[in-house]
Amino acid sequence: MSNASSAPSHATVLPNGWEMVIGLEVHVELDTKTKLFSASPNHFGDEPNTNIDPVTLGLPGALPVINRRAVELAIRLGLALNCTVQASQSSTDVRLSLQYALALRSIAPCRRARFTAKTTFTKTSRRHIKSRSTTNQSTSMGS
Amino acid sequence: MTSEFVSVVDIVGSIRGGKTTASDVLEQHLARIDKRETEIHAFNHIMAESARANAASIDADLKAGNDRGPLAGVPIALKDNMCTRGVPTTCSSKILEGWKPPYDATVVTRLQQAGAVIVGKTNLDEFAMGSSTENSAFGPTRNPLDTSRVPGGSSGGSAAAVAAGFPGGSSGGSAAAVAAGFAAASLGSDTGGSIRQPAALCGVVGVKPTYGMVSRQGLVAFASSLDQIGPFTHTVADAALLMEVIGGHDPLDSTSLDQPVPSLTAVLGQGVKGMRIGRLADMPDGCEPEVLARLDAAFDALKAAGATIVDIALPSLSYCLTAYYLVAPAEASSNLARYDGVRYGLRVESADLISMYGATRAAGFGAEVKRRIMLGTYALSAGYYDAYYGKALKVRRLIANDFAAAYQSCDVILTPTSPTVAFPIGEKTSDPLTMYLCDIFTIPTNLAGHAAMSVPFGTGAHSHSMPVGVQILAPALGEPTMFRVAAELERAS
Repeated sequence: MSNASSAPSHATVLPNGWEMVIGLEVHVELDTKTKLFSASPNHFGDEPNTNIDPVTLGLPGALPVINRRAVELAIRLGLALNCTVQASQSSTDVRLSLQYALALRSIAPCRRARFTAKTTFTKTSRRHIKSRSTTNQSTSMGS
Repeated sequence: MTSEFVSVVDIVGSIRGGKTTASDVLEQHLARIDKRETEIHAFNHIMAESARANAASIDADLKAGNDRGPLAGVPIALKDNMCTRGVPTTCSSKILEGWKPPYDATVVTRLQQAGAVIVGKTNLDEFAMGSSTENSAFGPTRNPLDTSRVPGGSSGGSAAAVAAGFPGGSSGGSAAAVAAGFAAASLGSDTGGSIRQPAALCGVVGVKPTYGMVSRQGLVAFASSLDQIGPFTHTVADAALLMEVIGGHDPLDSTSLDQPVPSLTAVLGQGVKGMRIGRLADMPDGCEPEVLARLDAAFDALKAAGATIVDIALPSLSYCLTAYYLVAPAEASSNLARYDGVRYGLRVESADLISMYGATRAAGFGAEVKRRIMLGTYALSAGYYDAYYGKALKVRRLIANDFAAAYQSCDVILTPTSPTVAFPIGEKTSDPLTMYLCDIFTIPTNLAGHAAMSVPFGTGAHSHSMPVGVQILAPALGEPTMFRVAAELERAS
């Protein structure tokens, strides 16, 4: 994940005074029964537009409710990686309201709502290097 | 004015006692709608047909001895920002015109399970943004008590439907619907005063519950951290009953409090003896003298009933309006990003996808909605976030601290609901800042997530006799105390 600044092999690559820190963002599709923010089945390969509901469609008035099991799995991963799970007030969800053609011009516009939950674990290693574990499920309309 | 209308409690009693039927009660309300709706415009959509079918089914069930719930046969109107399955839900915006949700809001389901008869969807300021119901894309609602005046907003239609008076606030239609006797009660939503202000301006009772007490699932979001659904009614007891029906935990709303609604109908007779009522030592400028006179009379009435009056200070009050007009537009700019013409509502075809987004939003949103989207987007943009949105959140904390300090020495706080009585239609539309000042007394409650309600307490004494509302502020989950004070004011008025 990182190298100590004293490692000689990097001294030849990096200018003096610089330290290389590499973060990995790992996306894992969790094997939960339902989606991350809705009660629709989290099942791939079904007919398009079947595993949907007001939340996944982003309908006016619909509210996301986080999947308890997904949070448990994220915490379990954090513990397995020897991270510190911040138990109180440090987890935030960010709802991205993207107009896809504007956000990703190179990708054909697709009609889907996407929710991203980011749980940040601060690794209490020697140099307090941050590693970030991201759970990411797209609530796609049958992609 | 309201005496000619029958309360929810009386309607329930009469139907249960066999003195009348749900169908008869409904027809009385539909007849009032027929007579005055053209003039008042409380509704975006009247559901006469489905209401008649529901009332008939309730009558049949009651005849067969089946209980249909605590609101069996009560005609109720809904602000048109609450989703109703298969029934148009427009938020009084062209961008949602014709959209029929495939699902019911939780409050709608709860009303139906309690036997209520939904009579229609009431007019509002577009996406609940306003204080007069003049910002509706479908035309203003008029105050049933004086049709040259606003009902308040944004739930003005809901208030007018009950009071048949003029609405105020963004829920102008809901207020008007109640004031006009078009419905025995209605539901509005309150983001910065949109239930309490129109209730005051239309002379009806309006409740903004503690944040999280009533599910927001199915309420089209304006500012999610401030929005809360609550009732408009003619009486305090009716409001208590409605709260008990619509409140309580909903697993479909993560911000819903995981606890039952406290009993409110049971505490109404307990009086205010020994209670400490807070009074603002420094009243903000701009209040009409007759409004202040009615507030003084309310303090006198509570004192006579055994309460003590305590002077309190809310030093951050003067910053609340500014903070609100950063927080609410910021959340609105995010919540309204979904209206892109792709999935539902209006679509204005254009050369390519990106220009279709722009053309749709340009045609679909009204001036006030666009103003707030721009304010919010600016406040959230990189480089300005800390200076505006971040600072507004700090004010939010400060006003919460102010309230916490004040509630050390008092149980509730009494203020005017609105600095003025209902104002003439068109008076404030040219100056948004004057319009925003209508909400000075109501906004702090939303910023703090607390409870508050407006109770009609007489009328102005001068050239007009428009109703004056007194606002009772209570801490989070302070509803039982708040309702006791409201009941006492109702007895004294």
